[in-house]
Amino acid sequence: MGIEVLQAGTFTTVQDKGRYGWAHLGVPVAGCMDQQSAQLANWMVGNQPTSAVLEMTWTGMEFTCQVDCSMALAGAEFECSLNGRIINTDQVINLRIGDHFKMHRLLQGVRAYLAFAGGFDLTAVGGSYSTLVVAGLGGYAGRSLQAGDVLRLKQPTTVASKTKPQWKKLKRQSIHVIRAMPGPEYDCFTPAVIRQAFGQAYQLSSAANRQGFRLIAAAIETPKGFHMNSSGLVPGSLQVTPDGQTILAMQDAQTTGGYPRILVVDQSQIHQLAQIRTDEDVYFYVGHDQRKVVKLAANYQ
Amino acid sequence: MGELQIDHILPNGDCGLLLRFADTEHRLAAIHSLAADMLRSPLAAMTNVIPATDSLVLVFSKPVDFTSGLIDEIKFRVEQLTIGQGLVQTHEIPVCYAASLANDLEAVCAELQCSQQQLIERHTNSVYRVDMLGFLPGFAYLSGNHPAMQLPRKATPSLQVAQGSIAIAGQQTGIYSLASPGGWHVIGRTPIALLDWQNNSQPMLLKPMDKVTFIPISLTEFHAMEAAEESTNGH
Repeated sequence: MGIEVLQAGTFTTVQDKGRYGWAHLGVPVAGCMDQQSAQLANWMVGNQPTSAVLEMTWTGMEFTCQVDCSMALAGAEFECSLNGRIINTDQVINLRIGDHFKMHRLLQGVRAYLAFAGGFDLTAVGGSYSTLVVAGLGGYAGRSLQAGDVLRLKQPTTVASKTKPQWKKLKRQSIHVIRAMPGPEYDCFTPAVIRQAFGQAYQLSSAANRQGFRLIAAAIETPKGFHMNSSGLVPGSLQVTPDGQTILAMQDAQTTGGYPRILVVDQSQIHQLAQIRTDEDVYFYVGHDQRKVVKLAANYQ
Repeated sequence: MGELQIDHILPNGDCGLLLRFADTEHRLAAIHSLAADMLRSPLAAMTNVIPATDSLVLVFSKPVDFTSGLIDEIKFRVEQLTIGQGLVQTHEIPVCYAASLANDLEAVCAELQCSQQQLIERHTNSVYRVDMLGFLPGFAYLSGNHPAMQLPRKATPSLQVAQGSIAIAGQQTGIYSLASPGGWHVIGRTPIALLDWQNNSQPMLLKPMDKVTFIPISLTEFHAMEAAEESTNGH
C-alpha cells in the first residue's frame, strides 16, 4: 500500500543522506541536494533526519493515496491542493485512503522535499536509498518517478500535527552569499584572477542538474599551459574549464575531476545552492575561520 | 616503508583533504595500498576515500580540524605504509569480439590496418593492470595495450555504449560497468557483470592493481554466459 503517481513532475527521485564509502569505485555520493529541507520534512512527520524522501525539481507531483498516512513538504514552496481544495503546506498533511493530492504552481525556490511518516518500502543499495539516475542505482528502480508508479510506504502512520517554524521556510533571495574555502588549485590562478573570482556575481545557467551547475559569469583565466592529473572531487567544487567557464559540482558529480578548482563551497552551505534560480546572483567569499584553516594547512605544503 | 612521500596536504573544501604525493617509483601502487588501508581502518568521521594517479582525497562528515592531530595521524599512516603485494588477484575476463556487439571493431581494424584476428590476438596476449576505477561507478581503467593497438579517443563520443563493452584508447583498455555515453573505441563485450550490488562487502569484481587477461569467446558462448549471468543475478 502506498501512493499511486498520476503525474511525477519533471524530475522526481527518492533521495536520502547520500551513499558514502563507495567513491573509490567511482560511485558519486548522490543524496538530497538540499539536506536541510529534507531534514525539516522528516522532522515534521517524526522520521529520522536522514530518512529517504522524494526530491522534486521545478515541478511537483500529483498522486492518489491508497492508505491513511501523514506527510510533510519542505524546501521549494508550491501551491498544493487536497481533493481540489488549496491547503496549507506549513504543517503536516494527513491523507486518507483515496485522497487526491496535487502540487500546482511553484512559488519559491527550486527543489521540494516530501517525507512520509514511516518512510518508503524500498531496498537500500550500498547503504543508501538515493537514486543515481546515471547508473540506474538505488531509489525507485534506479530512475526518476513516472506516472503509474506505485510507491509503497513501509509503515504508514498518522502523526500529530507539527508546524514548520517560519524562520525555516524558504524565502526568496535576490542575492546569495556563499561561504567557501580556497580550492586545491587556488594558487595556480593569478592574484588578479582570484580577486575577480571572489568579487564577481555568478548566475545559474539552464545547464543545471544534480551532477553540476554551469554558472554564468565573466570568464576566469586559467594559467597558460596549466596541467593537472585528475583527483578526487567533492560536491561544491567550482571547476574552471579551459574556456574560462565555471562548473559547480553537485551531489551526483563524478568522483574525480581534472579541471582546476578555484574554490570549494563549505559542505554546510550546499543546501542553499540547491534552491538558486536563474535570475538570482551568487557571490562566494572566504570567511574568517576558513582563512585560519588555510594558514594552518600552509604548514603542510 | 617510505613507499609514499607526501608532497603537500591541502584542504579540499572544509570537510576534505587532498594529499599529493612526490613522483616515486611505486607511487600508484602505494596510493592504492594507502586507500585500501584507509578503507580497512577508517579515520574518525571519514566517509570517502578517492585514490587517483598522484593523489588521494579523504572526505569527512565534519570540517577538518588542522589542530586535532588528524594530520599527524595521516602522516604516520603514510610512513608506516607497506605495499600490499599479496592482495593482487588475476582475473580472466571472457570477451566476445564480434562486430555485432562492438560498433567500432571494423573501424579500429581499418585504422590500425590489421585483421580482426590480429586485433583479437594483440588484445588477448597482454596482461593488463587495473590502474583505477572511476568516471562511472565501476568503470575500470586497465593499462597494457599492445603498442600497435593504440588510438586516441574518438573525436565525437558515442551517445550510448552498452554495459560490458570493452574499449580501447591510448595505452588503456576500459570496461564499461554500465551503459553510458563514451569516447573510447569499442572492440568487444563481456557477458559478465563487473558491478554486483548484491555482494555488499565487495560489489566490484576488479580492484586497483589487479591483473586481467581477456579470453576470446564466440557469440554463442557470449549469449549462453549472458543468460546464465542474468539467472544468477535474478533479473
